[in-house]
Amino acid sequence: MVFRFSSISDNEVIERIRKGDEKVIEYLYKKHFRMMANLITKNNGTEDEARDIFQDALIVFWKKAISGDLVLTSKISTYLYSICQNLWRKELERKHRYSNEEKDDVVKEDHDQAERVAIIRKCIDELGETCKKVLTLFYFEELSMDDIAAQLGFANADTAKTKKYKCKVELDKKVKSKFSTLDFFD
Amino acid sequence: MQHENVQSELVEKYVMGKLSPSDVQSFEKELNSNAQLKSEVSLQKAIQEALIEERKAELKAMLQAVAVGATPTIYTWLRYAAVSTGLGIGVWFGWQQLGAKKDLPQEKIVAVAPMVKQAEVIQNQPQTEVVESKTTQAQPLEKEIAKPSKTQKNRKNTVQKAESQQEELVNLPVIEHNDEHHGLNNHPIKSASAHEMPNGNIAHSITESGVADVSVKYDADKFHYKFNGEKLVLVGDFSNGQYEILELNKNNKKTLYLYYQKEFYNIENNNLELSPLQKLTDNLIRKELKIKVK
Repeated sequence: MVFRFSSISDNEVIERIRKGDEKVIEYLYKKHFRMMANLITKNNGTEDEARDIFQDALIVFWKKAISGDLVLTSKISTYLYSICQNLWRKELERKHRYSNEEKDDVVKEDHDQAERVAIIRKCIDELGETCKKVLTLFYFEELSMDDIAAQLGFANADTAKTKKYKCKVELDKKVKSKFSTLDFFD
Repeated sequence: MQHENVQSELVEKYVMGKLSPSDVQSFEKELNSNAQLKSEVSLQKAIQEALIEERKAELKAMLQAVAVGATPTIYTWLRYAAVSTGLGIGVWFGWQQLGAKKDLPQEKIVAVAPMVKQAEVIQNQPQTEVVESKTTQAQPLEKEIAKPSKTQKNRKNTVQKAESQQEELVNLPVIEHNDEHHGLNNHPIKSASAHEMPNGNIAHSITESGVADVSVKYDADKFHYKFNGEKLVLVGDFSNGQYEILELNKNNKKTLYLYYQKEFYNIENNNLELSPLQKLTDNLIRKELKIKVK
């Protein structure tokens, strides 16, 4: 697979993201990785951690840009850099906390929750690609029905809304078949 | 039915944080006295969280497959697809033919520069020759992206470097990374210095490579490989298609394989001498790898 990008302006990046062009974040990833890696590796991190943090930062950026929440007051690289700084600071704090605290209860709780999410993700996978796309665009990207229709080539927002409704009902049904109601009592 | 739909919509908006403050207040009042509603909210929270996780995982997997930096990605499968050498890959960092002798046996001496950051592909050539690398300098990324490859024109008599060729090399195996500039050294925590700040040009952070200091011999008939530090060096004529480096993480052990022309080859990561690539014979692993390259 070969990606051909000459330099893309920040405005064009945002514009492409709003159209759902995922290749743009690959472009940003390649373009700015070294800078972010330097930030992490010079602050007690490894290259793998840098990869992880920068990927998370790009996902934050993607979500903000695609949902229209992003108001850029600086260059994208500066913005990404500050997200990485924040994420890495949090990660260092988390590591520090984890090494100092009694963590048995936290671990068990995390584990239960992770298990529950993993089971539901299996149900999501069983839905099929279109349903998965509609639901993730609605719940993660938080796109409007108009935008979902445009991205997925549906006739209009009503079609998208009906599709989303049907997919969600099917997902709920699948999930409920895997859990008893009691599983969701806190 | 109508009531159920209205309630589902309320629950959905509540979980997504899209209710107005006054609606939140009345909803929570109801929530505290209605166990069934409470359970439904928990369920919907878990479902929404799973959908969010699913999407994040999808985006992460997409980025994870993009070759950046210089170390092989771990924890998951990696696929580094190199573009066919016929199309031209890598940066020509300088080459020099010292003479081709057609009547000599198929043997070559190749020198490779020690400090490039990505996998190297050394072209097979029909005659004995010496290929020597020159000192290379990192180029600004933007510039590299625009730089056309000359691979096709100059395929023979060369050592190819994958380093920094963003446009055509995005998926080359990236194996090296431990040099003084980008190594995994732990430094004391400090605030970002000025040179780390974004300025639109990150070339200054890319190290310069050193001069050639490694010489190896190999038979031109076979594909060869070795590790030069953490950098994988591949030798052979890969012009018939793209190859992929696969990493299998099994039983806490990471193993690399090369996939080329529907065949898998073993890559031992402790192999420091140029050796022929051996075909993978373990059928179980072959089967597993086949699923991944489909």
